[in-house]
Amino acid sequence: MKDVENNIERLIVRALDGEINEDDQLALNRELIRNPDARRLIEEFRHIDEMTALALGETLNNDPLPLDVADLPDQRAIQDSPRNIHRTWWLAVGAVAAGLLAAVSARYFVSAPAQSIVANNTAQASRVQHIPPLSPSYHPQDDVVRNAGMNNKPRIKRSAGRDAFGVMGDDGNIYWIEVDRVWTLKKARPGTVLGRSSEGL
Amino acid sequence: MARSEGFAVEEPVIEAIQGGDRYAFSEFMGRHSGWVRSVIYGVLGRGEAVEDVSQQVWLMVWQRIGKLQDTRRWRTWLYRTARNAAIDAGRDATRRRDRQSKLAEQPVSVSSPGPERGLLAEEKHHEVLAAIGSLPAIYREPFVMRHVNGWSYARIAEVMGMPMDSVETRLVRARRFLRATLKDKA
Repeated sequence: MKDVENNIERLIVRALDGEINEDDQLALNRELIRNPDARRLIEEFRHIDEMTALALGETLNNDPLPLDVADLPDQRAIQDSPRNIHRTWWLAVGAVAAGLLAAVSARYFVSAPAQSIVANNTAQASRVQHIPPLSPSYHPQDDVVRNAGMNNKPRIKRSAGRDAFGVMGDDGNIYWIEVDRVWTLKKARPGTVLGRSSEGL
Repeated sequence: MARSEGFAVEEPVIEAIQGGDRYAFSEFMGRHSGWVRSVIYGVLGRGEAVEDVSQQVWLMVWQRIGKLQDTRRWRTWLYRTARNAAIDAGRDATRRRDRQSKLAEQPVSVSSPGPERGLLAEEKHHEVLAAIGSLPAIYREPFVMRHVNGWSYARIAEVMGMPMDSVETRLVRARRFLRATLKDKA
């Protein structure tokens, strides 16, 4: 019974608000014909609507524009206001700080474990660290010429490089290891012609 | 969501306002200040603060409209701006009332009635406004939008961001509540 009343109430409200469709309107009309309570309800709701519309209309709809646009600040002034500049400034500071933090973190996490491992073998570390870099103008024959007569082991080729790889340690940490490597070929292969060409090396 | 339901196409106007066009803002404000007032009233449930809050809302709109990225969503944005300002104003008023709780309760303030209004009519007017003011805000908001602006369920649902069924349910309950309240006073 309650559901029927709620449904009638809903139909009445839809009808008063102009939201009712044809089928619902027919159903409501039938209900209004046979049910005096429905007729009373629609009259009460209609009366409430009239009173509230009148009261609200008088309260809310008799005012001019709320603001005089001539008094408004300039849009550009708002966008460049100290508050906005302040926010932008902090964004820039934040970005720089984040960059610095990233750089420091990268240096710490990448370099520190490698150094500690290398330091365990100081002899190797010193050998690795004292390899002079190769000159871009280096030619193998220069060594041959330079060492000829001074040494029976002419150095004809030297190359250097660096390998980097990660290793899982026993303690569960991952260590980043960088290894400097140097190859030095001290003897020419039999039959190799020493001269301008480095063929066969 | 359908956009054909009577709202003017305001996106170019919004973009003009974002560029600092005061005339466009004045036109925009003229078209929408009515329903913005009804939103504020719907939240507050009393008329005396509506004008002050309305001024704050439009000043905020002018100041913040540059940050509105999707201009198609201006209705929801404006509704939320008005609603949040009204909620803040309501909180402030509640705090003030708490501080002045020793004072006698003030009657509901309304705009001055015309001289032709009789005493009984004025009393009824007060009663009706008091009944609307005593509605829960979730029922009052759509009810005021419907009765002040004559909006359809679809448009109320669009602006408030809720299903049409919910709007209808709230309007039914608002009327049921008002009927009971006004019957008690009669």
